[in-house]
Amino acid sequence: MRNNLVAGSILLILTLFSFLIALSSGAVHIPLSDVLNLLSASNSDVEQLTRNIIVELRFPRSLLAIFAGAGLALAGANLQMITRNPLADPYLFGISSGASFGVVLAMTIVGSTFAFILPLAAFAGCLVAVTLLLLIAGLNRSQQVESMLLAGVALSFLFSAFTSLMLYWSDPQAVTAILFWTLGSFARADWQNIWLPIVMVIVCLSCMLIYHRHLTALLLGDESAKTLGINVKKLRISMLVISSLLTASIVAICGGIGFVGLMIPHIVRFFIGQGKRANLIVTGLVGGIFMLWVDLLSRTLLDNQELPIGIITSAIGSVFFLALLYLRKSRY
Amino acid sequence: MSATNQHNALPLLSCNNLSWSIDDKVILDNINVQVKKGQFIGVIGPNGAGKSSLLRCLYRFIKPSKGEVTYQHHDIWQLTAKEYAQQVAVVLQHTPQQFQLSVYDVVSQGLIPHQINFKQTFSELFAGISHKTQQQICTALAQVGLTHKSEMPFEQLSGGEKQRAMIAKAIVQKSEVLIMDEPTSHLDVKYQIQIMELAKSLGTTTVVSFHDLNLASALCDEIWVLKDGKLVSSGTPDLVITEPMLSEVFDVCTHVKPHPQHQRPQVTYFYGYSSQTNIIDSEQGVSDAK
Repeated sequence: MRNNLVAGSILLILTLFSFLIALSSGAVHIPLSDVLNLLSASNSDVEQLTRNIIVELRFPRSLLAIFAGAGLALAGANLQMITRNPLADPYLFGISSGASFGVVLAMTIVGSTFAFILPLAAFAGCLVAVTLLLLIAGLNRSQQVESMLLAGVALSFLFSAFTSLMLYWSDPQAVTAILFWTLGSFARADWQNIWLPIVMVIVCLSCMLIYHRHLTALLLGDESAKTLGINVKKLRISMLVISSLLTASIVAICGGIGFVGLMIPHIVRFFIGQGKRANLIVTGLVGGIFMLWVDLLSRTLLDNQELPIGIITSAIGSVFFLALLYLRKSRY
Repeated sequence: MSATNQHNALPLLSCNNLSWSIDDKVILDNINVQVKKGQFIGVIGPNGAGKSSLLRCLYRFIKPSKGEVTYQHHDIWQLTAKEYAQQVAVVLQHTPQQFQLSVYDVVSQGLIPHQINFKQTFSELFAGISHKTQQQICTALAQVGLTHKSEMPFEQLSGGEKQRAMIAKAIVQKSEVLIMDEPTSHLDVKYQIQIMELAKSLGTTTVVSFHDLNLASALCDEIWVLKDGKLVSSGTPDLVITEPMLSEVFDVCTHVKPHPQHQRPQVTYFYGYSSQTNIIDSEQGVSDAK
């Protein structure tokens, strides 16, 4: 318990520290003192331009990065628990390909002139995918987990096929736009659209904290969980819905950011297990910090250009993950 | 508890004309049994006899297709899953691997049926597990002798220790009845005896399925014998564990004599090809009949 508290406090401080760094670095470097000055007092003597960069651009963007990272990590941890499958990931269930399909469809129909419509289309695509998944998983009474996973993979391929078909028919400009969208970015963050992911992260985290013991009971098998009086089907479906909505709210704004949902829960579990409630908070914080630094890298690695988030998460993530697998092998 | 007390006690659990079938295949056929308070009941029978299915009906996992299971005269399907879990705890045969939970985490799952309201859950969320509850978990761990391993990963326990942890979980559940489905399969002799003696020492009303007839005979107040989904015999070990019964139900040649320590029936098996001739004959008979 004490270890968890210490880890939690360190991570919280690390998050705040990373957040300040993220506010100060970028194409225009703003000294930390100015950032602190601006945050501590409303009427400070910081230039209007600097104020705009921080308040209108970097603050919402970094906030979104933290909550997107935390949200994807939590959704991943949740799905891995309810399916008892270490490979489960928010994108495995067709959610992301549903979103891509929505975006492609919207671009084909209305063109890329109405940029604001893309998040809506992505969210609608996610919802369609989740509804289909629930219908399929709900119909099959026995072996719910297996049918849910397989249905998710099948749906994912189905949507990808439609997306590819529409891309094949559309013009090269749309293809580039969609490719950029699927690789993920926090550039679309502003004060109007970041509230939904933040609310969803809080909702999802609260549900997971309240039902944490029920979720760990699922890990010991459905039959064992039922003997403890748990309504397994209801618990699984509601957790699936909550994590899907969370993922959808993130994907709609940030596009596809792979690997975080799969990797972060594994890293946290590797170091501190998954039996305690505090582990969920640690998972969220680690996800948030990771994403914040990835965003920082994407903004600063190349001059005057932003690297897509998805490329960095996948690159760093895979190397780190392989190292972890190697470590685990040598540990046992 | 004396034998007369048990006979006078009202039944806690009873199966009334219980049948269960899947797609016309009859798994359990018209079973009538009763579990009285304080009894330690063994369920024996060959593989596929329906032992696990009967226990699953008792712990409200399978809904019978005919008849009913009652707990204190209430149909168990009229109770909610949670209400029933407060009365009946279960220890299963298999536990899945790979889930990175500590022994303490697994044992504390026994609290789930008693997490009644949101207030309780919230106070636990912010103030941690209450001292009283912690004490309860620690006592259960001490009872099964796992106090020193409470923070160890569950997966690193030996088979016997895992089953002991599952029993500790059932103790935390504070139920009236404990149902165990072959808790000693895959365990060596020492652990088989240890687990069963532990279960017996709890003093809870217990229904447990066995493969080891001698262990069943030594520990149980009453034994139910199943074959092909039917209740073939039930009663005290002296009445049930007999040479004709074992030959009929298990198709083996045995010699039954009183155990030197407790005088209950002790089963000795005959080995060698010639001892199996009657089995081959009977199987021949069955295939001829088909």
